[in-house]
Amino acid sequence: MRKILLVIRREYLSRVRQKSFWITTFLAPIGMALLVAVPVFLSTYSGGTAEKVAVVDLSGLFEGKLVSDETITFTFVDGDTDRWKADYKKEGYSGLLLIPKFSPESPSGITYYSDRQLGIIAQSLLAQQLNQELKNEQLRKAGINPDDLKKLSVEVSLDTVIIGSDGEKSGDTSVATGIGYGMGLLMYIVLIIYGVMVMRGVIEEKTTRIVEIIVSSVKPFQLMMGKILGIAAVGITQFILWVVLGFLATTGVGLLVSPILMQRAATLSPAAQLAPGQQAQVTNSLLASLSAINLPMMLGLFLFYFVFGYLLYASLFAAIGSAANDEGDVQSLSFPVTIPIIIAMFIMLSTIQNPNNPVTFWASFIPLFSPVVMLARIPFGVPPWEIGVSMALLVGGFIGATWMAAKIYRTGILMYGKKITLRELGKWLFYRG
Amino acid sequence: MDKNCKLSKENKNMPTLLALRDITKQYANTLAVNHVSLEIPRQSIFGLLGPNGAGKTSLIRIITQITVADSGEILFDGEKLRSEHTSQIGYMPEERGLYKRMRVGEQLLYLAQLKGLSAVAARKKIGELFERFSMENWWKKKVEELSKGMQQKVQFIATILHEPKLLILDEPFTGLDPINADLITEEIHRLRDNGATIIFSTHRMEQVEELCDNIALINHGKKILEGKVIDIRQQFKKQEFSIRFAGMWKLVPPEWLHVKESHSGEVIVNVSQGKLPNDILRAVINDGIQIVGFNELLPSIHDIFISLVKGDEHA
Repeated sequence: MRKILLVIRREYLSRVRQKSFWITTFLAPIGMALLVAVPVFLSTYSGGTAEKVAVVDLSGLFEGKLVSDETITFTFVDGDTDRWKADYKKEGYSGLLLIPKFSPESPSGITYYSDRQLGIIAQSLLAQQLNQELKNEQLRKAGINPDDLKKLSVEVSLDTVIIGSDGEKSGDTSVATGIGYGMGLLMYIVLIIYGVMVMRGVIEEKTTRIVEIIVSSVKPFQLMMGKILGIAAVGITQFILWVVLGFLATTGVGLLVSPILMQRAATLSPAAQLAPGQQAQVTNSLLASLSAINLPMMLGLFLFYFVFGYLLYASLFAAIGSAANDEGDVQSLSFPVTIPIIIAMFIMLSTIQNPNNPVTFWASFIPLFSPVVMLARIPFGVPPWEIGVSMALLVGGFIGATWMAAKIYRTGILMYGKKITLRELGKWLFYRG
Repeated sequence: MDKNCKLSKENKNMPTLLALRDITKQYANTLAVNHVSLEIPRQSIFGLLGPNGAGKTSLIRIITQITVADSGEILFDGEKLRSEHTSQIGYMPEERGLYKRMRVGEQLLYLAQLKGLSAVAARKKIGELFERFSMENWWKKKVEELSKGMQQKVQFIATILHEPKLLILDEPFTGLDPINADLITEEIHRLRDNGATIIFSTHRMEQVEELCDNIALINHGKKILEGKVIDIRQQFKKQEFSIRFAGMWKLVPPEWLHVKESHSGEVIVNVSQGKLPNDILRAVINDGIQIVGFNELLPSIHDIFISLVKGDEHA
């Protein structure tokens, strides 16, 4: 036991002390934050100047109705269409909006002329305004006051209620989907990143030949488990740092971005604006469905599947690493381990669309898939017995995988020069000591 | 239990530190170790010889408990070999290896702790050895910054840090310059004199004669020879003598004496079994030859090795 602790300590410290660990740990959340923030900024940033649009309105329907803002300004002009087409630029406009005469029932022929594309936001704003105006016109013709209609419109939201043994809980499919997807994806990433880290560690020890010295002091199994657990500790450290940094980063970015988003929401869809009461209702139902998910249990299950899923895959990756002579061998050897993770990912994607399909049901019992699939299923509600069986099978799978990996590992780490096939790996399972 | 205890106590003073009894190890289709028995005397330097692929490394890995023998028994210090004994064995494999990105000091500390030393004791010991090998300011150096010979020194220190009773060195001199090779040789002798037993695996026969007290020769997984270096050379002597003389060589050789080589002032003769140096001298002196020097030629371990291995191939 003391020896395993020494190995864990070395594996942990040697990684945590490396600059690259801190660089990735700090850059990842910054990268994530940028990934969210940059598109928002880019789409709002119109380069400081608004699109100046000259409007020739032959229909006479829109005069004074199009609202200018900081991204786009409208100036209604009179005159010859062809002249404006040729001269809009000379007159200092960036484009010409030509609205021909048309019947309001079938509007067609509205065209924007410019020497460059209109930004996607300006374009959608424009289209929306035109649509809204035409709609209002139609309503007026039909004798309906648009303002009255607005008062009448109601938002329908479908509440789902999960009937469990402990009574009824209201749930929200989109929240469950989000959480299921998030957890499944996180699991998938964790398995790949840290599994590969274990494999690289094994290959490093083998190619530098230190392994023979180490196994003359500790049992190969101790070395393998020490490495796997040490890297798990690295993963947990990184994870905690990411949670903290991610929280700080998103809060920071959120503070910067949210006013812009709010404003956007306001200008983009004036019709979809919610009354204060409605807004509170949405927030409440979101909270309700979150609380229906039972966060502590979820977190507990995530940890369980994380720990055993990682242990299972990490030991398989260790076995693969032990058989490789260099990084090049890894390609051909690692597919039996990476394929199940990728399959699990695909099953997970279908799970969040339909959590009750039979593939998902069976996959959530198979130890190679369950860490990803079951986690994605849990937010939708899974009977306790299914979770119990899945967990038991995962523990069994982990023990089996570790036993197998240990056998391959202790042979593999001392086998040099030979090109190893999967068949060969199978044979090693039956070697003695 | 009682009996075992008594047995082990008696055995502590036995002249054998490590005894291998009928060890066999099979890998897939090759019999790597074929019923090998060895007795390694306490406080001696034991040469384990054999051509490449003879089974030396397999045998060493069984002793270091990296692998397990299929059959046979190993006694270490009179007790059946168990995992606790790894802390009393130091092993330097032929293919050297260290963690490239770790610092020398930390690396040695780690390896020593794996052998059961406390951090404090290990630090102290590393300090001592750094001093002896004039490596005082190496603690903070990274292994990848060291030359190959320097890494070799670190490796050697890693092997002896925990003061093992049994030291197994596989080709310890490859890659060392003569100065460092001498340093290591000196250290091997010092360790032996302080009570350690050393198994020394090599192809370099001149080192064997210089260093080893006992040897065993392995070929195709089988032991084909074992004993004291001097006894083996005696055993394989070919009744050859060198006679140096002044003046003319005018011997009329008797039928039991055959001149094998002759140079100016020296002849190498070969005599029939049972003839003693006195018989040769008598015959030579009687023929009026002026003798300047006379000595028996013993075959070198190198020659014995070659002839046995070749003989084995033909057999």
